[in-house]
Amino acid sequence: MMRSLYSAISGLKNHQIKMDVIGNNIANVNTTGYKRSRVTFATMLSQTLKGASTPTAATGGTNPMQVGLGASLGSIDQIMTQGSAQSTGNPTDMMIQGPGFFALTTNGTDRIYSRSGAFSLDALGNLVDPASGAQVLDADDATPINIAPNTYSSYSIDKTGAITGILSATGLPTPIGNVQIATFANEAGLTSMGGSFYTVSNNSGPATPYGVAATAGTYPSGTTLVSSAVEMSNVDLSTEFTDMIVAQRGFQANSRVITVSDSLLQELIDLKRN
Amino acid sequence: MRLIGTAASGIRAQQLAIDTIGNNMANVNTPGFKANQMDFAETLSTEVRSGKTKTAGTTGVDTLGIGSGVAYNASGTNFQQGTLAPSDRPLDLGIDGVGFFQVKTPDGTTGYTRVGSFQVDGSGQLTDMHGSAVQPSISVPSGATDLAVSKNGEISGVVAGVKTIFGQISLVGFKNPEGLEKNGDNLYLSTVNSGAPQVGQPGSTLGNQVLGTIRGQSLEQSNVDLATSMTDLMQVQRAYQMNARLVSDGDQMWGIANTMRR
Repeated sequence: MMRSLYSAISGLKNHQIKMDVIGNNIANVNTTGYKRSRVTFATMLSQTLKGASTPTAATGGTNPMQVGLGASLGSIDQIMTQGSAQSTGNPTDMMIQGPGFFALTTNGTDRIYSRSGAFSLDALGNLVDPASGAQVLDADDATPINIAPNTYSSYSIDKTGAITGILSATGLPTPIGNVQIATFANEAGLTSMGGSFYTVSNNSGPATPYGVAATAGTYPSGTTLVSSAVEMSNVDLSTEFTDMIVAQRGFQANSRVITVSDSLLQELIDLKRN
Repeated sequence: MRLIGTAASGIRAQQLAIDTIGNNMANVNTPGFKANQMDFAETLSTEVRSGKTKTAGTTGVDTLGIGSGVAYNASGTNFQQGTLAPSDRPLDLGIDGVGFFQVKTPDGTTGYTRVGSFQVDGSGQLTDMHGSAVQPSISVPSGATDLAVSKNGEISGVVAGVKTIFGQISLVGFKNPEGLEKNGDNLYLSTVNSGAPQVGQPGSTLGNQVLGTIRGQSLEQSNVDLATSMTDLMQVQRAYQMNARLVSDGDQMWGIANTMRR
């Protein structure tokens, strides 16, 4: 059958996926710490009808003659740009200014990473993600952050991630812990796993924990912790809507190629009348 | 009867044209895509009367030939610059002008691409979206922030508070870019007719061409023009229809000839 039919189908499928990704971005326009994704397409293989020939002194060379066979998905990239800060006034909310992720654990041994810092304290005084109960890890990458209940009259988190409590018994400031921030060679290579969490993938590179107690030392320059605020989604609605128009029109154009290809095939069938 | 064969060659040629348009439209949103175009040529003519040279006594006679249809001649690529659309990834690089990025695919082949949607992989190497390493290789250390690319292709960033240059993007020019072979995944391969790849710094002069400059945080869009593609589609569809009509007319004439003697 015709190549154009299948080229157009590949175009339809790709634009459908582009639309799926845009839909997910828009659905997460108000999800804290969400990083938008972007689809890029790539060309499919081309069928060579005639290869190139070498130019000689007497004759010129000829270019290859090829018919492309459509488009394929190139990549779905996670765009790890900074989202803007939303001040909440809640002392256990925090956001990372600059690259890096909060490190959490669900069972003490696994490691999951998140940009969403809407944390809260549980009954044991552990700093947790309230939706999943995952514990926020200290910079030593072993213990969860624990602000023991009924021990401190108040506590504060500074921009280096150090948590200092005022002992209610003595009124003296005491270090409680240090929020870990982990960086990766390739942040966009992390696997997104729902609940605003990411895990390490083959292409993200291993996590490097930062913080006072971490082997790598305090936060890298350009990375600070902001408390009493959360990072808003980096989805930009104007970009998404223009992308949506592009996806819709691209889809439409490809469906037109299918109807025309179909009418051509009909033409062929009509050649033989009886 | 020549008519049916001639019209059939027309159907074949228009089909190929529609395949090309279909592929262009499938790639209307593929970054860095360059539209293709089919060129047709006449096929050989059959001589029904040979020509005579003019002599003293007689006048000359032209050769009378009837063409036998159309053949596809060449598929051209329109290397016109696509729009450089802004993006928010620092490693999306657009080429403003001529030239290609050079990458090495996992099987060791050197490919050329206009799509500068690069990333730093887990080992810190700069690769394209399919994991092909940018040539000459550039490595970006873990924890580097504020990545930026200058007009002449210098990739820099901030490591531990110090601005550092990680490497230099090179561009490749060809004497005849239309001679490149398309290999899928946005890659082109060099052929015997493309000329040898000439590597240079963005913005430098190579022979008679000036390589383009690099624009950071932008991605070149497909240069397929939907309006042109749509009108081409209509035109080709009608040409196809007309050729199909000729086949059925030829068939009908043959039918008349067959029923002359009952």
